[in-house]
Amino acid sequence: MTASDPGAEPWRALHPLSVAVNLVPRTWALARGVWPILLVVIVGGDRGPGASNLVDLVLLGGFFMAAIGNTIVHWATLRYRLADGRLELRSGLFNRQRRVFSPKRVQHVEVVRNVFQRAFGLAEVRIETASGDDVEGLLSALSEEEASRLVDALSAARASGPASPDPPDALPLLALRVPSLLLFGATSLRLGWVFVALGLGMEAFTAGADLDTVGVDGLERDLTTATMIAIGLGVVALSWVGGIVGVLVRHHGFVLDRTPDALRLREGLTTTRRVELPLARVQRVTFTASWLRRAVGQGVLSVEAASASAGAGGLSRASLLAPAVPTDALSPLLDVVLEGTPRPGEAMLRPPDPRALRRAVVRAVGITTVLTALAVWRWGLAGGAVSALLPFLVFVARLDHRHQGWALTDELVVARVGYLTRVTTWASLRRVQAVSVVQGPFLRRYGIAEVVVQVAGGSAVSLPLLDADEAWSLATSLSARVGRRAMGADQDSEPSPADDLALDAPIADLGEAEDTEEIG
Amino acid sequence: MDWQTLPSRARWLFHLQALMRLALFWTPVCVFGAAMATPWTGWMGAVGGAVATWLLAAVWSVWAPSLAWSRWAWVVRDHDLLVHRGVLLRLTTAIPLSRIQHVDTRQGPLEQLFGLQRVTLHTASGGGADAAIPGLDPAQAEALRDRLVRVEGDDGV
Repeated sequence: MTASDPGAEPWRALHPLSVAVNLVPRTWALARGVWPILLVVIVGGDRGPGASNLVDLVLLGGFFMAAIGNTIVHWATLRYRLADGRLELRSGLFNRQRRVFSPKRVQHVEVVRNVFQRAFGLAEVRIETASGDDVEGLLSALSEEEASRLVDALSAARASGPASPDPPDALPLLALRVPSLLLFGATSLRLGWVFVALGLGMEAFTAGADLDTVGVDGLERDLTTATMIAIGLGVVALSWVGGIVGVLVRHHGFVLDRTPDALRLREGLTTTRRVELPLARVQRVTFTASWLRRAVGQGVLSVEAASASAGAGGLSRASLLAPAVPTDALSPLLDVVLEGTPRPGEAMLRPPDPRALRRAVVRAVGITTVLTALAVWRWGLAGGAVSALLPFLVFVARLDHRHQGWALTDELVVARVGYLTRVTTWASLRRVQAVSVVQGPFLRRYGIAEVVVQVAGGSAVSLPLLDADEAWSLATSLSARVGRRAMGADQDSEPSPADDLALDAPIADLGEAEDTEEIG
Repeated sequence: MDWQTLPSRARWLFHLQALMRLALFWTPVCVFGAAMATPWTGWMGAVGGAVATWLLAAVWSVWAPSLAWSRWAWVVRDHDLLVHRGVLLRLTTAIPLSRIQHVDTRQGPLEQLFGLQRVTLHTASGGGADAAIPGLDPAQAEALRDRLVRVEGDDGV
């Protein structure tokens, strides 16, 4: 501790091995920045005479020197310390910058260890705030003890209580073992597989057709087709197994627990990940379950908080993903994640407008017509078999419609959509940024509209289709309520007259008034 | 409190913008498209397709701006702002006033010609602008901006 600054520690540097750990990622980052030049150098080298190879070598050598120098300078100049609970970072040789992270503004702390870092017993700490303009709260190589000391100190400062490295309720909210992860990996239904299989099947057809025109006899053609289909199935099976292995590696040893003010997640086999997400910043929670996962009683819970990068791309969001959440563990988890906010139960969800079903059926007919037309054009009358898709699509549309639902409470907006993949979303009204009503020409014909509730960072909740007038008054009263509450007005006060006045002119009337004006 | 519509000058601004889009975007696109498609469709088909596309774009450019102009409407209520717009896709956006992070007013060359300003509203919902009101009278735009920026409160992030 320096005498001049009583609350501050001395400045600390990254671990010296940071140079070894960072060389590859930083070189990669640099290469991504100048890839057009590198591409020209590498590709262009083939065409030029011998002399240009030397130029290429010099350029490439210069590039690698720059990458190494960049990594060494990064290590040599980056310093950090904790001062009064704030994390201070300074870096840069010519371009000095200094950044201070106030613990209250920290949205998200993540400890990541990739293969290199594990090999050297190091860890990377990433910090995101709501005001920063980059992922610059990045300490890429700390010793493991130092990383956990830093994370604990930051979360203690955030709680502004006494530092407690081990929270009292250390009982995990959710711990996943190999069997449930295996089940999770095995039930992953990527639509991509279907496309891969279809694509290969089509290849087989066309390959067969080509051989036919060349005049190879039927037996060989059948053999080729069979081989192609076998290869297709093999690819699907391989990617399935690969997916399972990926899940095991990524989520190995998954433990979710809570500290006094945050959710904490640890997982990973080769790259261990540790994520902290402050509960006070949670804005949207989704539970996603495909029909297959519903059958085995699982789903994916994703908890999202708004975070950083107010620079070019606007706000991004940080999220915490819990795979293989057993359906019966969902409710207690939601109690923790939503901090006990009362949630409307399944039975309290309101249905979509009945006209939405008609629209869904019409859409199914439209999709089938287009697909059938394409198939007939491609394969002749045999392609007409594609129209058998219609009953299936209509069936799914009916199931989807029957299970859709939405609800609005004082604290939350809830929406549930989808049958093949059912997504239930809870969003906190305290985080609502804007509400829109969208109505295209088709929806207008049916007199229904879509309400989209936007929260920070570009994520949103789309409600099932509602009657247009209802959608409109829902959106406008919701935004008025959010605005009133955010401005500190009494929550229980009656809506002000001005808010109600505009409600008297629903969207349809407005449109008609304009239309008559135009005629007149 | 009533829905505000755009000044009638904005209608001509919309028309001029649409014609410029037709001239500077759709015309080159159709020419380029025809050139690219010729090897596959033959020049007859390519030119026919390009002319048909161009005519469609031209009809839309002439017909839509007035409609778009008449559909734009906005109102500032006690606690939020509503913006309504759209010809084919109708969109109403309701933004709680305290969620507005910043407000841009902008005047491009065409807007200067008509003496109009464009007001763009940003919230933390990310991406680009969350709502925009084009073709406002400068005094009106300034007043709106000042009214919106004055609001304080929880930004919900």
